[in-house]
Amino acid sequence: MNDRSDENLVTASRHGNKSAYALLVKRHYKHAFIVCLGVVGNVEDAEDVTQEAMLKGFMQLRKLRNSSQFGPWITKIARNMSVNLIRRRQRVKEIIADKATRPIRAQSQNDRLQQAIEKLPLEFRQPLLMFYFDGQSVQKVANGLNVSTSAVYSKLRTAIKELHRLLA
Amino acid sequence: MDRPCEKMQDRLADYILGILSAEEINTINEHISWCPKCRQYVQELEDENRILVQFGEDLKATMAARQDKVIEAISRSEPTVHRKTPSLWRIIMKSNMTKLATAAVIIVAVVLTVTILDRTVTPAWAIEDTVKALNQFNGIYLSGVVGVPIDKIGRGEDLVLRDGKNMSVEFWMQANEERTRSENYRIEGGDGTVWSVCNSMTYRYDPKNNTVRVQSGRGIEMSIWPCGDYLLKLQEFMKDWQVMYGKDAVTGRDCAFITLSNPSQGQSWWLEIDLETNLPVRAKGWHNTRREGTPSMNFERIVFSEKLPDDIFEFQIPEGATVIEE
Repeated sequence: MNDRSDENLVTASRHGNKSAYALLVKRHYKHAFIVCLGVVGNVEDAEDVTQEAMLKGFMQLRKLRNSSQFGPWITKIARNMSVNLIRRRQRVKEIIADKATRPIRAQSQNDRLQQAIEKLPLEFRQPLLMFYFDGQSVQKVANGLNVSTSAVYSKLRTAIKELHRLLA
Repeated sequence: MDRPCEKMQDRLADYILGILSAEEINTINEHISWCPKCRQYVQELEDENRILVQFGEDLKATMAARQDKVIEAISRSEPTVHRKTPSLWRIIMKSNMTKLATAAVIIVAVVLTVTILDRTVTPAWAIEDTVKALNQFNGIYLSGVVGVPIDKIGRGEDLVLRDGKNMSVEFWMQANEERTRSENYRIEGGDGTVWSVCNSMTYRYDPKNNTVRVQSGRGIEMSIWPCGDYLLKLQEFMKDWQVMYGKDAVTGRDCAFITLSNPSQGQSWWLEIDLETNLPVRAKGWHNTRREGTPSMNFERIVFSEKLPDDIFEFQIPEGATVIEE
């Protein structure tokens, strides 16, 4: 069953075959997650949004016109939901004029790193996370973002320097 | 922290990212060997790089658990299954499978109609009783044998076949609310073939190729339902009918045995009606008008139900089957 094409699995999923959709999740969750993480900037939100996106995809499979394009389709859903989450939070912040930073607490290296990553501009955060999460392959990042490798080099370089500045 | 050399910052970042050539790496190594600011900068970047790599590894290590959570959430959800308005008639007219399914009802319905014209029928049985009995039910189950596999019938074989190669088959049919036609069907052949129409979706499972052909709409249409009104309309189509009385060979119950033929199509039928329930219980069909030889359709069991369970018609795609959307 693992050899079945996305198209085949989408067709089965459209008719309620949850096992087929589970295979689609296993194939595409990782990429959708990292895209969400790149947008929202923290693991917890990325996990929630990716799960919502996968569920939404299952409910709305009928809207997918080209079954072979499930991967890009579900990733787009995940990305849009992530952007919407950020926008909602931004509006809430504006409403309550919440300029406060996070509560002071003992922070692990990961905590500090995540906070710094969250503060990176999206255009740098996304390639940085994809690079470190997905085998540190510039080519993979370039393919995933549909940009040139030289553009990825440039963004990664800036991301590394900016992250260092934020962590200093 | 003292800032590193301005012109070296980009190169040092590239150095950390591991995207420099060997020659460039040597140049960097040579520079940081004598420049403490850049050496410290590189060390800090390397520390951050290690955290990032570990961060990525941690995420990957927990990815399966995240996926499982999603899959579990999906298992608790209900999908929205797409239902299109079916375009039926082209399919109906092409498929002799339709004829087979319809014939199962015709055998039940048409033969009953003949009895309307039977002036010799005894008071033991009256068509009105059967009409009344049929109107109490919306579901029918038939089991028996037919002359060829279901998939061959779909390729243009006649409904009642001549070759005598019997295959077991079961039908489940549920009438629509108006009782004008069957709403849901399920047909299972002894070779594992399954045809199902459920909630305006049609599924055809081919066990040989382990494929399921899925079609939006009602790919197999049952345009009639053996309600009383329909039975009355059928009388004009039937010829050469007779009604006899006797006992059921298995149960010993009193029955009416009805025979009839359709000379224009070279077919004949036999139907057994239980006189206590006034419902058909067995039916046979031949591809000749004399009911000669082994019946090419023989339904040994006909059971009526007020409503068949919905899950009978729900089609579960077999594990590993290839799904083909049509």
